[in-house]
Amino acid sequence: MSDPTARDDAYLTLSGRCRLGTFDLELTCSVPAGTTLAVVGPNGAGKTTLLRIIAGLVTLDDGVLEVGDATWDEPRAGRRLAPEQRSVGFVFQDGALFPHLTVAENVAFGLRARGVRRARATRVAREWLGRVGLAGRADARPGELSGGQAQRVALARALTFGPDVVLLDEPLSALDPQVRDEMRTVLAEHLASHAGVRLLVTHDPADAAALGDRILVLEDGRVAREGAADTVRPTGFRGSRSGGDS
Amino acid sequence: MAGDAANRPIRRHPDRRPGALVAVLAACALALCALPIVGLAWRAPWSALFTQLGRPGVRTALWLSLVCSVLATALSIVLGLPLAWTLARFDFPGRRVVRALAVLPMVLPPVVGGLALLTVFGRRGLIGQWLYAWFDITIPYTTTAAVLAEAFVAMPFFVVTAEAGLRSVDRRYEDAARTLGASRATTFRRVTVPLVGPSLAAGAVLCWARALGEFGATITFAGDSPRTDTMPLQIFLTFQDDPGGALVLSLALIVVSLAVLIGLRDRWLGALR
Repeated sequence: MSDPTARDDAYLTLSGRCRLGTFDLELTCSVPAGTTLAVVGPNGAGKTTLLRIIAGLVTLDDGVLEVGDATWDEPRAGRRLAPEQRSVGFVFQDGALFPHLTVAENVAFGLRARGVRRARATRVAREWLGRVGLAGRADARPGELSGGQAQRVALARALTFGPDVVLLDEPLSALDPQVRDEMRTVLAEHLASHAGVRLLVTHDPADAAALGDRILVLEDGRVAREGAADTVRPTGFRGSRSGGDS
Repeated sequence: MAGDAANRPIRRHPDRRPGALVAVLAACALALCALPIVGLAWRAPWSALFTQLGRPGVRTALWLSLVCSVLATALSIVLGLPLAWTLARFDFPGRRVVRALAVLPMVLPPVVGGLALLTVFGRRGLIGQWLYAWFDITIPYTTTAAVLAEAFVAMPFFVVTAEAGLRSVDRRYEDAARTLGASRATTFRRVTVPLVGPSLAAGAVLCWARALGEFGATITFAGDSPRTDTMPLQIFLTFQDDPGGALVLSLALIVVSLAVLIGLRDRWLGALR
């Protein structure tokens, strides 16, 4: 396959802190390539902020973020890669598909932004749409898709260019129960075939157990527990059944 | 698209007609806007139409009006978009003051604006004295002055509309573009501009319309000469000794602006709907 793929030696390590207003996040975590870290915790625990730090959408105040042998963020050394310089695929909470582009153009966006020619980018995008079971919706607008379809497109869009790190922010929370099970299967399949580092934020312990190799419980901006998925019970934190995170 | 979905519930809504008071007030508003145009058409000496439009000064004025208003709009977009972006997206000390300054020309009487421009760009003005001393450039009473005067008065309309549009964009789309590998410039071009396109277009049209009608600042700063007599000036000058002719010219200006607006709607604004 000629598609760009993730490096299988992309070990992610993050040790740092970040202050946003009165909120304070300080943690250390590491994720080896080929594994999924499920981040769980109550609303406002800092789960989404953690993903945004890794993507470069929020800056660290102090600490180091490294992926493989590259430093992505190290404020003291004055080093910081812009979001577009990081090899990251971000699946946003309810897709955040560009409403003015077709589904295929959405999926091709990452390749186009990396200088891939239109014809080739479109072909790869269509292949990916086939892989997530949406080959027939390439020319649809995001507004015409159901929640589950939009989430599949968002997944395809984040994976086309073979990012070293995949970040998923509550990819299942907005879906109906039945669609949710389906999407969980799609996610499991695509995460398993992705060679890089994966982080999945969820407030649902069942999703964390099903999709994560390891589980990290975040509470009030600190790591409360961490361990292999079969040893850490992700239940019991406050508000474990409530909605999204900000 | 989302627009259609948003429209649907309104059509099914039980309130099919506005209440009596709303209808009366709305009709009065419409009358206030439309009656003067009717009056203009009623009193205009139509027989003088072709002699008036044939006057060389009139054709020059019409052309000059179009050129100056388009240049002023272009200047307002080139300078106003970065200003709108800065106001919408960055938090810095004195932002409120900057915003107030940016819309100041909207509340300033245009004559005052023209005087103010003279104090800056006049031969002995703040900047004008150096332009004159170093480059032998004089701005007042030139076509450049007419364009500057129009831009001064009209730019706030673009800045205000563009800023509101930029504020309303869901930032997650821009975040998504960045994580997908698009630089800030590419994100702006391929995501932000298409999303705020209707606001930018509306702002540009408002700005152009204001520039086209600009009179006070132009006559003060650019004066009365064949290089600066735009339609509003020409109409005012004609009015001094030929009120009927002024009516005809007014109608001509109205027709031209309506033609441009309708043409834009179909060609440019229409594509964005």
